[in-house]
Amino acid sequence: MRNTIANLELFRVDPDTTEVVPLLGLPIMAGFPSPADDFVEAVLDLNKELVRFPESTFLGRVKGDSLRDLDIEAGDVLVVDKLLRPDLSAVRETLQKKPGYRRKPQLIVCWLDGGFTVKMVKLFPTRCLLYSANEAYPPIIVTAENEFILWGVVTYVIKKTY
Amino acid sequence: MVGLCDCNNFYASCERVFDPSLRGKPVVVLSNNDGAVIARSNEAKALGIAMTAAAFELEPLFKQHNVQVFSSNYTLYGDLSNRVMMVLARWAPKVEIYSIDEAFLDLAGLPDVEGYTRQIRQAVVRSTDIPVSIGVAMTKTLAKVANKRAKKDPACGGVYVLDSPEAITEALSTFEVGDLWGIGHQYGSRLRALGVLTALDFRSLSPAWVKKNMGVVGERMQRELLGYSCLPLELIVPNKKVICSSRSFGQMLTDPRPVEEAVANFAARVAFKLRRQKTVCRVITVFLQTNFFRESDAQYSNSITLQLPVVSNSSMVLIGYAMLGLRRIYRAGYRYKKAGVLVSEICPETQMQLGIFDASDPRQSKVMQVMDGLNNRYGREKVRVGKQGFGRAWKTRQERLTRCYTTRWSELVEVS
Repeated sequence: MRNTIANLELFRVDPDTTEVVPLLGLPIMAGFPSPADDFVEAVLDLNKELVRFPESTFLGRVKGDSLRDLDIEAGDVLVVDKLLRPDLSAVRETLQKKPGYRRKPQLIVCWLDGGFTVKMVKLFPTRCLLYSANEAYPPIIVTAENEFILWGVVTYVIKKTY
Repeated sequence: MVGLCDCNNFYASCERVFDPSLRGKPVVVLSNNDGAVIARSNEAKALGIAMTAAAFELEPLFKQHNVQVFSSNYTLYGDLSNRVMMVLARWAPKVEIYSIDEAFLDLAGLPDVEGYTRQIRQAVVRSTDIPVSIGVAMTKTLAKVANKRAKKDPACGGVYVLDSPEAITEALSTFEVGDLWGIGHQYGSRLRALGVLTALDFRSLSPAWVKKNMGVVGERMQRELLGYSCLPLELIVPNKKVICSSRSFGQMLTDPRPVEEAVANFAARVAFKLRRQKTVCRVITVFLQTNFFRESDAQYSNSITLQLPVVSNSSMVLIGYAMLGLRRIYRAGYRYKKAGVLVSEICPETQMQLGIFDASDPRQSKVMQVMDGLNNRYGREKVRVGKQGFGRAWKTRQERLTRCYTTRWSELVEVS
């Protein structure tokens, strides 16, 4: 079902699907095709939209308010992909709010000294800086002394809005 | 060429995915009921911790070396296993899932098989954080040999291609005959008694002798070691011939109630597995036993096998017959440690042969369909048969269980 309300297109979402990647080359049942097949309207699959690589995608839940300025709050669900390579170049430009700079900062889930944290990460030759999006949280300096792993890249933030 | 991809110390590696601070530390995973060691990280192996060692005997060692000990979290391991297999399926046209942590890959016709295999390995590691070793060779049996080298020799970087005749001969000359895939304990010791110590010794035996003494299995194995593939990839997993659900209880049970509840849950689990593979069963067995390791206790064990009048995969029907069977073998006055339900004579739903006078009740399958649908949406066993109850007395002990990070909304990783 597709409605148009003002400038917003609404699609019917089918929440019941789970994406299945063909795994074993199992034979696909071939029966009589349904005469309705040609007329089925697009059903959108949230899994396909939010999960590009199901094998490397994990979900996380946000704690605390360190990303407040990005409208990311406690309880939001993060879709995290481990396969994507973190892009560590976009941070400074975003933070400095360069005019005309439109790129979103990449959020990275990091393992830092015994816990997961989601931050914007900037790499320097001997250390790296982890930025929050809340002035109450100054940047964290990470050196070789820390236990630090770039764990995955946040691809979507899912939030409840009612 | 065929590849064998094997996850290194799989269960221990799974625990590290969501707790990277465990990297480099000794990690062990315990069996159901936290009884015995069933997985060890390399660091734990280096401490001399043996497979199947009893956990309580190792407590002092665990303390002394700060060994990280976990209950087995099969939900997590199963999910990560699926992910590893999905990555492999992206890279290889055919994948045979051999076990929870092993798969054979079709790597035929690649110009640079080693380079490609290294890419596969990297993709698995990057996607899942699970380290794997991949051995590649002309046959499955040789791929197993190559895999061992890939895992043991750090110079291999997790990948070893065993292709030239010289390399094969060299590898087989140091490979113990008993470690060959499919040799088994019995043939292993018989061959050693005859002075056949290595895989190369075995390959050099006269084919006639092997066929006479070890049958077609031995013959195949020998040909595989010579590079002739006799075991193609098995892509379609045949339906299981027997399905069993059984657990040791977390504590000894002296009351009939929790035993009934446990058996009802085992029956429900088995029925669910039957439905999942679209099969039905004709025969159900219930068994029950006390703890044989406690010699001071009075011992009792018994089992009963019932033939169903009509084949079924309904939780309600199977629980009904399981209760009937249990009542016949249950004796009061014992301390029970373990029970289980096993079904056999399994056939596809579509081949269901109805008895003339006792046709299966079509309402059963409707109810089960609705129940499975609800449970699929709202979580495992949210809707259950009353007899399953909610008691926990019989539940397995899992005192050091990590969270089901990937399968439960309430147990997601928390990031701050």
